[in-house]
Order: sequence, then C-alpha cells, then structure tokens
Amino acid sequence: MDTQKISDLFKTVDSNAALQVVTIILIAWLIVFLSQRLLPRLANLLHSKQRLYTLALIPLIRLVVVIVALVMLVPIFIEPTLKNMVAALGALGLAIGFAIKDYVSSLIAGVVAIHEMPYRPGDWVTIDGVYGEVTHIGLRTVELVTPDDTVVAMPHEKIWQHAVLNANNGGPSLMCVAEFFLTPESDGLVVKEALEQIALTSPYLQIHKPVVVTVNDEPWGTRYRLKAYPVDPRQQFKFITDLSLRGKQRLLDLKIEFAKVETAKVN
Amino acid sequence: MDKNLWRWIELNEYETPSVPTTMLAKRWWQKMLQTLRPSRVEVSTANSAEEEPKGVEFKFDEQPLLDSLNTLLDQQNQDDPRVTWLVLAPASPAWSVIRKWANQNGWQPVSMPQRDSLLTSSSVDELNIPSEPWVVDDLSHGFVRHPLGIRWLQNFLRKTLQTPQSPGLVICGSWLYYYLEKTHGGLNRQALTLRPFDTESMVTSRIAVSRAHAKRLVAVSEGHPGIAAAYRNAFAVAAEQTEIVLEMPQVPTAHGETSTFVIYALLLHGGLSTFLLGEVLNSIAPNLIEHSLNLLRSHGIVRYQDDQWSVTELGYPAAKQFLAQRDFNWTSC
Repeated sequence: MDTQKISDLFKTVDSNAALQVVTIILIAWLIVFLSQRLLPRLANLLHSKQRLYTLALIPLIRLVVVIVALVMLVPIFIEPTLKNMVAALGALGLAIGFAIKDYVSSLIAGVVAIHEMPYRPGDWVTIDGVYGEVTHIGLRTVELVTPDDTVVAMPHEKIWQHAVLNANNGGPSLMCVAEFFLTPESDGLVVKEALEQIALTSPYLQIHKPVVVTVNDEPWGTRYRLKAYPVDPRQQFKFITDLSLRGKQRLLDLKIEFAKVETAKVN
Repeated sequence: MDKNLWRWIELNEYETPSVPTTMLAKRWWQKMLQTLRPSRVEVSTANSAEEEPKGVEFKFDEQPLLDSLNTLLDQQNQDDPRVTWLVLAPASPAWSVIRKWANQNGWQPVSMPQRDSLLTSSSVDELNIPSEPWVVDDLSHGFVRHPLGIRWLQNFLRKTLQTPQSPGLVICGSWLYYYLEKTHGGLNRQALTLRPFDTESMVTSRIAVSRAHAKRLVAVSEGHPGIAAAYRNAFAVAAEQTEIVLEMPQVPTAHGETSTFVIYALLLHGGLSTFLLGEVLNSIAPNLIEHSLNLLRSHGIVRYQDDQWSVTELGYPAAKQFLAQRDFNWTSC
C-alpha cells in the first residue's frame, strides 16, 4: 500500500470537522470524568448492595461513552466504505501487532473484564498474589487497595494468565475465617460450642449467614477454623480481629491449652 | 369497638401495611437529602421524645386485648402442653396486658436470672419449668449478647424443645426472636404476633382523630399501634385538620457504624444499662459508644431512663429504617 493509497483513506478535515472532533472528545471526557468523580462519592455514602451497584456503573458508563465517541469520530476521518474500513483495520492491526501489543492486550482484557465481571468495584479479590478491594477499573488497569492501604495498579491482561480469586463476587457476603491452634487433648465439643458463641455474639456478624466451625488434626495439634460473615465486607479485618481476640480470651477462661509448635533448629 | 382489632396471627403472615406513594416518595427524598449531607448534625426534633404530651393523652383500652388473649389461650387446655411464642414489637401495648392476663389466670412466671449475673463465669442457673401453665414475660431478660450471656437462653431453648409437662407462654421481642430464628437454625415453634393496624384500625381504636390522621399514623408507625399512639400523644392534631405533619426524628449519619451497633444492641435487648452495653459491644472503644449515645439522645432516637438506655417510641421508625438501609439484621415486624 503506497502513501497515496493510505492518504486516500482519510477525509479532508476542515475547521468544522475539527470543531466536531474537539466537541465530541470534550463531552466524552466530561461524562467519564464526572462519573469517576461523583459516583464513588455517592457509593461511599450508600451501603450494602446499593454501594456495589453504584460502583459497578463506573466502568460500564466509561465503556459506553468510549464506544459512542468512537462511532461518532471515525466517520469524520474516514469514509466508512467496506474497502476503507478493511484497509484502516489492517493498518491498525499491523501497528498493534508490532508496537503496542501489551497495551492493547490490557485494553481488550479491560473490555472482557467489564463483560465477564471477574471483578467489580467493591469486590475483594486476589490477583497474582495481591489481595485488596477493587476501587477503580480503568481502561488498562484495575486499581486495588490492599489492607495496608497500598494502591496497586494491576494490568487487566493478568486475567489471561492468572486466576482471579473473588471473595464476595459483587455481593455483600464475604466469608471470614479466624483460626485457633490448640493441643490435641482439648475437648473438641466444648471448643466448638465456645467458638460458635463467640461468632454469634459479635456485633459485626451477618445473622442471615451460617456460622461454621471446622476442625483439622495436624501433626502439631488441632486447627479450629471459625467461619462467619460480616454485615459489610469492609468490616472483614475488624470482624476477624474481634473473633480472634474474644475467641482466645474465652478459650483461656475455659482453661483450654494452645498448641506450641517448636521450630526445628537448623545448624 | 371492633372485636377483630386485636387479632393474633402467625408470624409468617405478618405484612407491613401499604403506605401511600406520596408519603414513600417524601420519605425517600428525605433519606436522599440525609445521605448527601452526612456531616450535617441537626437537632431539629431533638427533644421531641421527652416533650410533655400535648392535649389529652391516649391510652389503650386493655379489655379487648385481654379478650383476644382469652380467645387465643383458652383454646389451649392444660392437657395440651404446647409452648406458644408471642412476638411483640417494641412499645406494643400487649407487653403489659399479657403480664396482667398471666397473673389473672394463674400462669406461673418462670424464674429468670438477673441480667448482670449472666456474665459471671460460673455455671448457668438451674432452669426449672413449672408443672403448671407457665409464662416467660420477657425473654430478653435472660439474654445478653455475650459468650457468657447467651448460655441461659440456649439452655432454655434446649429445654423447651423437649415437650414440657404443661403449656407455656414465651413473650419475646421481635428483634430477639428474629435473631434467635436466624442464629439457632429456625425456631420452628408456634409463634404469633399482633396483626398490624391499618387505616381503619387506627380510626376504630381511636388512636387517630380522622382518616387523614390515620393514614399519616400508619405511614409513620408501619402499623405498630404502640408507636402510633406515641406519635398521637406527641403531636396534637384536631379532627378537622387536613395538613398533618408528624415529624420523625432522624438518625445522625456521623459515627454511622457505632450508631448501627448501638441501636441494634438496644433493640435486641429491649434496652441496656451502660455497663451491659459496653460488655455487648466490647470490641468498640467506650468513648465511641458514649459519643454515639449522646448524639442519638440529642436527636431523640434513644433515651436514658431508670439506668437503662433504650430506643424511644418516636425514634423507633427512624432507627428501624436506619438499620434496614444498612441491611443490618433488621426485622419488618
């Protein structure tokens, strides 16, 4: 394809067309900017499902705005005939293949993420070993805030190779686990009842969900896992702390011994 | 007076009376305004709960309620050792009437431990179910949401699950019943509650002075006669009045999480002392609880009376909405 043929693809852009382009881009940018600023603020004033649904609107609005803007912009530059579109897409494919492959891979993964929803704003996810709350889904990256308040920008393309572990999957139910390591001689039924009482009396408990205690025998003793759900996923760390502290205190009051594991010394 | 005014229904038949769309829209708009202005702390209706009632105070006629209990419980003869649960909303006039009825009919009260003593680490008090008809006149007195405070109640549930020798009556707050139902695998017991009041019942019972007044009372109280009566006593309305404003206190959204825990704990226990509230919410800093209580009191949502914190009758609808908005273990009854 020679230079003449490529230049024939494009229309002549006069001042009127340039004004249209600027207007479309400005309006699209304004809508995206406002949705990204206002909706998270509104969402943080809401609770439970309302919060999650409001947050989920943000990437959806941006995707719709970008598609509409592109549909309006392309005919300004290119006469949308079959021949022109094939030629333009071919040139675009070549550029993507050589120069901006990874970037475009993330963009496409971003679109797939909005459609398949492996994560939504407000979800608690683990991607590539990083656990945190999804606070923003951008065009190229998803922003996670870890429990230590560190913001991690994770490229969407991670979803091609890595499993996404989603703890609440768009809803307010997020299971929390508090672990207790006890000697094997402990009375299992007494421990189980005491731990259930601890969960049932926690102010953070979502009473619509079950409280479960599971027991595993290990070479060093017995592992008890107290599983329950908080009312709000954002309370998960406070909830686990509450279960752990009160659980330990109750077990100590019941004179139940905790397992002490001595690590082998390596000379 | 309509004999069907006080009718006991199965708990699962309970339906909140419908509220006119205009009133729902107004309530939604107020909620939106409050959501968008969370930091604003107003004391508009601050002490409305503690104001002197205006005009003649409305009091329920106890006799029809006593008659409804006779009809309900006379059907249970002594050979039928069923345990009947009567689930009551806060401020329901039935609380005191059932006690009176049980006393008049010689139903023996089950001895219950002192709430404070529930938290001692010694073993739980022996529970003796009388061999004659018996009554637990407020189950929440045997419960504190604390690992030690839940033992008596669990013991009671286990004992009454086995068929007792004589019929029993358990009076339980709606919030506690809902909590027990969800956390103890479905109580699967005969549980009854009072039918909610609709516009007609508000007029018949003379809580409302006119139909317009009755509609407002149904909307604000969601059909709870005790709450409606409190609103009637707090806001004087003339029979010919068409423009009726029943101003509900608003729960302040500042310290939302602590306020949620405090309100829920008070509703669940039907009121708590400062000490027990601290024990129930021992993972929350005491100064936060104190600050939240003072804030809620200044807005007329809670009161401190006889060494007990409790949710006010006027504040109850707002408190319930506040919990429902947060999807916080709330009950419609």
